[in-house]
Amino acid sequence: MLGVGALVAAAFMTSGRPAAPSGSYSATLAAPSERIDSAAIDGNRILLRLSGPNGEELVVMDAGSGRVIGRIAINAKP
Amino acid sequence: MSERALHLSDELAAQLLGAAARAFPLECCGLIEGIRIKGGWRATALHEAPNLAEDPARRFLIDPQRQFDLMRALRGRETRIIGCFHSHPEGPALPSATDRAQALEDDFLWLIAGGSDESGFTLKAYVFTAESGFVPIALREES
Repeated sequence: MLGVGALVAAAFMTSGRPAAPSGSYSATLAAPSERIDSAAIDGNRILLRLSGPNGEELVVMDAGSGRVIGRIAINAKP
Repeated sequence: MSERALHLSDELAAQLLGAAARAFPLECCGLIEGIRIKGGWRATALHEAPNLAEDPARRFLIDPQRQFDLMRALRGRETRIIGCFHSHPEGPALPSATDRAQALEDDFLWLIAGGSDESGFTLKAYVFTAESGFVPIALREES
């Protein structure tokens, strides 16, 4: 879990895009056995693409609070 | 039948989930603008609308004026209204009995965000036809 959180921070440090309005934030996501494929900022939201044993998932987090707003299974059979 | 899917960008998906979280504990609602493509649909915009239901914690009613305005705005354009979205506060991302009673239009998409402010929301997509009712469809990243 901690490793995933560190990866989230690293992804934004290398993105070259502004993070939260305050310029910094921290977020930890419980995503065992999942890999972060991509990360992006959309307004005040963090968009994470994860992949793991259950397929691909888009996780939307609030950049200010680090709270998970929602999850969407992507490219999975309905 | 080949599998049909809704292509939705991450930004639009985040917009919908954000609307569900902001509206909680009430239901959010709105219309999906998009186009038919081979193998399904592509959403190009989401238009949030006021929920005019008498009990907005349990039901939704999209402001008809917003729907008319959007239909008028889309005249002569490639995109059209391909579906609607709403949330189920503290409920699953499944069509409810009310949804089944209200659904009329064939080949109309329904995006449902179920969950709570605390646990987060899960988003699922369905297509409604009078013949088959609500059929789950896959969500694809925009390509």
